[in-house]
Amino acid sequence: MITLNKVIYRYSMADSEKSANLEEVMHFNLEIAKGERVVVVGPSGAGKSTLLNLIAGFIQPTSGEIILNHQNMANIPPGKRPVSMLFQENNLFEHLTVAQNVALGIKPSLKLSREEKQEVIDILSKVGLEKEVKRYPHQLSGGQKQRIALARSLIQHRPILLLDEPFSALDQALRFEMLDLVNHICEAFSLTLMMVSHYLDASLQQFNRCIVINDGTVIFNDEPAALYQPANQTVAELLRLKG
Amino acid sequence: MVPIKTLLPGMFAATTILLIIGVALSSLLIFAWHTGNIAIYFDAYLWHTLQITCLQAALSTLLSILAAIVMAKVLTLVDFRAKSLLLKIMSLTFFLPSLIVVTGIIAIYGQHGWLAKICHWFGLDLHISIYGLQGILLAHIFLNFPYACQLFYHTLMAVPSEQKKLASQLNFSHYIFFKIVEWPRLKRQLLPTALLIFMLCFSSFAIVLALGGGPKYTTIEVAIYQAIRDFELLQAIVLAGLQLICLFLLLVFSNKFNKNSGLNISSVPDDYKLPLSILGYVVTIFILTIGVLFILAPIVAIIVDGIYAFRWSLLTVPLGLAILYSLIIALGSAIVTLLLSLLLLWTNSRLLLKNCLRSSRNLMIVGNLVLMIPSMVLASGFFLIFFPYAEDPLFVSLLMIICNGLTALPFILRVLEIPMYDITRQYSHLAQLLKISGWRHFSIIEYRALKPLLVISFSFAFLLSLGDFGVIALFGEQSINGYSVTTLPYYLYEQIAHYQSGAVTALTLLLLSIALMIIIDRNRTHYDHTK
Repeated sequence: MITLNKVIYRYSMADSEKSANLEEVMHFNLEIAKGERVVVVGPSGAGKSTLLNLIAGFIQPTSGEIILNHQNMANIPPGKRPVSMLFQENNLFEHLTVAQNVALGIKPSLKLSREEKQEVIDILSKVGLEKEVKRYPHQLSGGQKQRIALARSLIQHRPILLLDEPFSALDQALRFEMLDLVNHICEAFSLTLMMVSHYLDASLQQFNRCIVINDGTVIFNDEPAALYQPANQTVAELLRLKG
Repeated sequence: MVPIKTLLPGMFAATTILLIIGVALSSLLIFAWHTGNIAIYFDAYLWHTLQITCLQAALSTLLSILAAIVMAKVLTLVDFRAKSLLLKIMSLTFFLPSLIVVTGIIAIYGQHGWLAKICHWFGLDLHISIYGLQGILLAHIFLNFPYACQLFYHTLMAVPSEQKKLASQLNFSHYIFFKIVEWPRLKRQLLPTALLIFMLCFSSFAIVLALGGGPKYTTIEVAIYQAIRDFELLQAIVLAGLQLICLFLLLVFSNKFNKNSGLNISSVPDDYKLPLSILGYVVTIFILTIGVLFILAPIVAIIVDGIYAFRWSLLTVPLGLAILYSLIIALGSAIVTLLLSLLLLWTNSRLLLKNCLRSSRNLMIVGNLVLMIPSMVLASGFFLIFFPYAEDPLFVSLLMIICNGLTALPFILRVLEIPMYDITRQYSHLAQLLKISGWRHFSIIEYRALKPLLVISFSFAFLLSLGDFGVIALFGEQSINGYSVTTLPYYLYEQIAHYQSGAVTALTLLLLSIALMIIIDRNRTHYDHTK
């Protein structure tokens, strides 16, 4: 489903102290099967978001293949990839209603047929917000906003869902509730999920697989429980996991 | 209660301002009262003037805004090395002396301008006269469009990169993205910007005088000037009254819409751009090139023509005198502006701190009163009272210092008002504990903390006065005996009006302005860093 084959991403970073440009290199090799739910963790700045941006197509790799649905998409624009992605914030357009925000996933022109309008309501009911169609994002709570963004990515019918710390701004209880919802949705729609998280608690166990990234490369790729095995002590120490 | 000691500086400044404006206005009114029949001046000419004034201002505003939106959009699509420099230049052309704008426009689009020369080289003969409505519009667009453009650009750049990423994932076209994401953000800024441009074009003087090409295209401001020159003083008063009413209405109107212009210009590095097709890229580069040429060509033309025309023999005594007068008058009016604004804001900050909102607002209205009263009205008022002294250089210089100082006041108040209040509030308790007050408070707290801002304000007031061509147009005309005051803009206007080459004069004025703008920019950067 998602294969990253010798993907190299070079970028230059301005170093304010030396006032010079430092070149950094990241390289990824990765294989994720259809329907898997993967959590991506690692220190900040390690390259977690870069990995997601490469898969979504917001940045292009210097070399290597990004194979999505058996097709190399390394140079395909984001709108033509089988991928939808959500961010920590700014997922909704504030001056559009809930229904309009979701409808953008069907047609950017917002001119929907009757069936398509019904589809919007149906998908909103899947995330429990069918009553809020006429409201605006600023009238909603943080959790509700993310549910609507989720509804929009569902209506796009794209088999890969990427989440870049989408629930980090929510409180603990709500975060677990949202994770349940995501798991449920991924199963119902048979989606492949990759989610960046900075939480290393019980939520890890909700995923089939955990990928740890450090210094622009994958240093651990196994099921979450394996993190606590003695063989992976260095990784656990890097993440400051408590056994 | 607010102690009288804190009220005194502001009261003093406010009284001075009211006195000056009051004297000028009442001299106009008394004169009108004594002369009687005003009705004869409410003729077709008056309405024609009003119509033309509104028409050219409306067209200038519309075209400037449209060009600004297109150019701002184009700028968000591509990155290039000199982009930040270009944006800086764009935010500064707004403050170029209007006669520099006139010279630059003539140098490019005039009969012997660069455009005509290039067309001639290609075998085309271009016979478009720059004088008339087209010249006025061109100059007004040149003056205002870059300023509006960089405002819009910062608004567009404030769109969160997440939303741009979502847009490209949702397959938005550039048109849809503009309609759904960018337009709603621009819309909030559109009306205040348009009103500002409209107001400036409405009371435009030098550009219309130099490029209007006769009485067919005249504005109220120019008509006042011509009425005074023809000694039709009563007509001048009617026109001045009309101008006053129009500006008052515009100000009331703009205050109504200006409530929420609190823009949060965040400089978050943008890390994503919507994908651009090859055709889109070509169109973008094409528009960008035209825009950059339009902005830079007149400035470059002044520099090149100035250097090309330079002869030592052109450094005449009149030019030297003009430079000297300009610098003295600009220095004087910058001091007046800074002094008045510091006195007003000293009291204002303390009133705000004591929660006396109404008194603070009244004080600020007095400071901004000059916005409503164009310098031509002010000058004509003084002209009537002090007509006998109109040939005394010392008196004319003093009058210009006061008029220019007052004209710059609202702009400087806008720069200093919030920082002055913030710094007073921030150290209010500390200053009380350490018993720092009065002059010592100013020298220890305001002066040291806000030094870059004070330099900016001073240079800004200096620049505005340096480029002013309003009051001097009235009083400079009396130079029969050759001992009268001339400033650089006046000298330049004389040369343009007599179809002489003003290249060297224009270059001098431009270089002085650029030097001031560099000082302003340096201190702005310095201030932003220390904040």
